[in-house]
Amino acid sequence: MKHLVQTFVKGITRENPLMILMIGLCATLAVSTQFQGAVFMGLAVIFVLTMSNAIISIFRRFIPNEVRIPMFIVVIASFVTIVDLVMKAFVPSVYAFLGIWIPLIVVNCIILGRAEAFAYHNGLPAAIADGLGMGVGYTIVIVVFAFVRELFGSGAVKFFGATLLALPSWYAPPSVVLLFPGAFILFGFFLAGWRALVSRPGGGGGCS
Amino acid sequence: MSVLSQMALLFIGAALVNNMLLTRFIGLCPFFGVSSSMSTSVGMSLAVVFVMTLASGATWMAWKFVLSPLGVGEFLYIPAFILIIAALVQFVEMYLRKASPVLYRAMGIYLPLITTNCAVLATATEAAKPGFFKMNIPLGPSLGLGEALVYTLGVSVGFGFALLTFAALRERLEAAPVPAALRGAPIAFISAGLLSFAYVGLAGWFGL
Amino acid sequence: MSSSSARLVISVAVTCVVAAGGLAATYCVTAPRIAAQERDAEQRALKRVLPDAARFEGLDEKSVARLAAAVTAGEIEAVWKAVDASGADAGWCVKTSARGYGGPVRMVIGLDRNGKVAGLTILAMNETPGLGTRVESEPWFMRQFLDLPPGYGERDVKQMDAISGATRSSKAVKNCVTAAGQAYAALSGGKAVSQ
Repeated sequence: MKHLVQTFVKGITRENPLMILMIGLCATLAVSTQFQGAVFMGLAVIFVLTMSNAIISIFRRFIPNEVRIPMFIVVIASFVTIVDLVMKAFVPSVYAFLGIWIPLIVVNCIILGRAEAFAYHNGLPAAIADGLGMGVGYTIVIVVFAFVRELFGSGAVKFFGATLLALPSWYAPPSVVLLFPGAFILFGFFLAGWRALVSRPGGGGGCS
Repeated sequence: MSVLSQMALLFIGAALVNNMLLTRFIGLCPFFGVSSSMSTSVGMSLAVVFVMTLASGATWMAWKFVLSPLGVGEFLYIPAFILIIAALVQFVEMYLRKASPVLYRAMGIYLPLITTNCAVLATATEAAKPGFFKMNIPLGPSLGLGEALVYTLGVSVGFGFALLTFAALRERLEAAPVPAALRGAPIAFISAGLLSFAYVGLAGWFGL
Repeated sequence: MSSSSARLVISVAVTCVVAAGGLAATYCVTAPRIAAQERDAEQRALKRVLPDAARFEGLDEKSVARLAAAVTAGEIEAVWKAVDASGADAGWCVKTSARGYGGPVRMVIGLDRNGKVAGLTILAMNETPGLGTRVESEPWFMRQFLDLPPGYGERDVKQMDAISGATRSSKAVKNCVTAAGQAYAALSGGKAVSQ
C-alpha cells in the first residue's frame, strides 16, 4: 500500500511530467488561456492515462515485444476517441475550445512514455497508481497555470459562466498574458518557481 | 483571387502568420529537445518537412477514399491517422537506409521521434479532416489535395524556420550569464517568448 | 518473449478489431446526442434572437444560395422565416459567418418585420479567450446593434463602436450584422415582387 502511495506521489512531485520530465508541454501552453478548458484537458489526460495504463498492464503478457508500440498506440487512440466523442456530446462548448488538442492527446508523450516505461512492466494496481499520479501531476500544473493566466490576462476567472475570482476593476488586464509570448515567458518563470519551491530535476526524462 | 495567389497566401499564412511552434504551441517537444545545437536542428527540420508532407497526403487520401465513404471517419480518424503516420515513418526509414545513405545520415535518427511529434498529427488532421482547418482563407468546407499539400509544406517550412532561429539563439545563450534560478529550461522558455513576440507583429498580414 | 510473425499479426489484428468495435459502440451511443446538441444550440439561438416568434421555418437551399450571392459582407449559411403564435410574420433569422482573428465568427441574427435588429448571438468562434471573446463578454458591444435603424446598411454598421484591442473580432461581428442587413434587403426586395 505504501508503495502504491509513493508511486502516486512521485507523479506529482519528483517526476512531475510537466515541471521535471518536461513532456506534454504543447497543450499546456495552448489551452491555459482558459481555466475551464484546462480543467477538462486535465480530466481528459487523467482518464486516458489511467485507462491505457490499466489495459496495457492487464494484457502485458499478451503483447508481443516486437509490435508493442503500435498496439499501445491503438489502445491510447481508442481512449482518446472516447474522450473526443463524449466531450462533443456533453460539453460542446469545451469541445469547441479544445479543438485539435483532443486528438493530439494521442501523441502527448506522457501517455506513450508511461505505457512503455511503466505499465508494460508492472502489475495493475501499480499501473493505475502511476497513471493517476502522473495525470494528477499534469492536471495540477495546467489548472494552476491557466488560473493565473486567466486571472491576470482577463481580470476574472470563470467556470461555465460563474465567476470564481475577480480582480478589482481598477486592474487593466494586459493582453500579452493571454497572447503566445506571455505563455512562454510566464511558463519559464513558473518553471523556475516550481523548481525552487517544490522539486528539482534529477536528470533523465524527456522525449523527442 | 487567383488560384496562385491563394496558394501563396496559404503558404505564408501557414509558415509565418500561424507559425505552428511559436503562435500555436504545437510541436514544442522537439522544439526544446533538439534546439540545443544547430546541426541537430537542421536534421530535425529536414525530417519534419519530408515526413509531414507525406503524412498529410496519406491521411488526406485515407479520409477521402476510405474513412469518409465508409462512414467510420468520425470515430476512427484518431487511431487511423496515427497508425498511418507510424507506418509511414517506418517505411521512410527503411527506404532511406537503403536508397540514400546521405539523407539517412542527415535525418535518420530523428525519424522515429517524429511519430510522436504532435506537429505531424496536427497538420495531417487539419489537412485531411474537415472542420479542423481554421485559417482565415475562404477555401470551402474541406481542403483539396493540392491545398492540403501546400498548407502542410507551409507549416513544415515554418516549423523548420522557427526551430533554426531558436537554435541559433540558444547557442548564444550558452555563453550568457543567466541567473542560477533561471538556468536551463526556464530561460529557454523565456527566450522562446521573446522570439514569439516577433510573430505577434505578423498577425493580420494580408488579412490572414 | 519469442514470437512467430503469425502471432504478431494476429495480436495486432485482434487489438484493432476490438478497438474499432468499442469505438463504433461508443459512437452509436453518443451520435444521437451530438446531433441533438447541435440542433438544440441552433434552436436556442433562434429563440434568443427573436423571442416573440413561435415557429421558425427554414428556407430551402436554393433560396439561401440566391441570397448568399447578393450578400458581400459575410457568408450566409441559413435563413429562417419566423412566425408568431397567431401565424403572422415575425421577421427573419439569419445564420451568417465572417472572418475574425482566429477563424470564422458564426452568428445568428434576428431581424424583426421592419428589418431592425431584434437580437443577435454568437454560435461559435475561435477568437483569443479574454481578448477577442470580449465581443461576447462585454454586453454593451452587442447591445449597440439593437439601435440600428430599420433596413440599415453597411454605412450604419460602420459607425458602431469597436472594442479596443479586439478590432478584428469586432469587425467580424460587424460584418455578420451587415451581412444580415444585406440579406434582409434582398429578401424584402424579392417579397415585394411576389406579394
